[in-house]
Amino acid sequence: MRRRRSRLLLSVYPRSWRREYGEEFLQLLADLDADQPEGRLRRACNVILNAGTIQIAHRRPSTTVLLLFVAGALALLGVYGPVNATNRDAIVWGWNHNTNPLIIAGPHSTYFATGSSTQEGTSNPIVRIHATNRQGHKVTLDCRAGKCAPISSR
Amino acid sequence: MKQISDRAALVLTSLAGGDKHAYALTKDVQEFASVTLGPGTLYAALTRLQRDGLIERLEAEDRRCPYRITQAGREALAQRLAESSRLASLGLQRMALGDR
Repeated sequence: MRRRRSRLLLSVYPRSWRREYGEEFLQLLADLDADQPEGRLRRACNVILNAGTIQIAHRRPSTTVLLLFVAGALALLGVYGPVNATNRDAIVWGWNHNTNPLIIAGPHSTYFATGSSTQEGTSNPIVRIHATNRQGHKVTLDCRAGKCAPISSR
Repeated sequence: MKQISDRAALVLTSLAGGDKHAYALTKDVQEFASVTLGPGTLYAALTRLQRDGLIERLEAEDRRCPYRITQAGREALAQRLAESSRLASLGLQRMALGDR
């Protein structure tokens, strides 16, 4: 797991907990990533879920943490999300690191990704996502420069 | 004495074999119990065990902190294992009776 992502995961824990365990926890994530790189997403879900229980134990759960807790619970059910459709990096990361459906939850719609491809070579590469929407229709989305838009549906 | 969870029992069993830091603990539990403790699960257990005085944290080596089982931890583990053993014997006994 990259350091930035590990730090982001650590940020869902209470500050007092981070002060005490933060450095060694980051070291454990780095050790596990080096040893088992294929389990990153599962570990991320595990971290988020358990952060919720530690937050509750500390009796100061924030809204962000509670939302992440719910996201982790959804991930346990086999869906990796929600990922914001306006975040290209999140989409690419999510797709590359799992074989399960990826939920792309935009402000107005939800898509379940079934495939993706990237057109590189430009300053703003296009990520084409093949997905199904909530009604079960197949949709193709083009994501460029942080924005996604459906280009076809059937 | 306070009841300990399955995960806590795994952590204490591992530490009963010697001091370990988190990564070594994960690998050890994976080896002797075929259970993979996620990092969040492991630290939730370590935090609770330390708070309850069943383990103690030793001085950090590099960025890894070894943990050690305390006397109270040994007693809690012994009680838990005795209970598990009693339950296993009873279960096996009843299953044997059922097979007849």
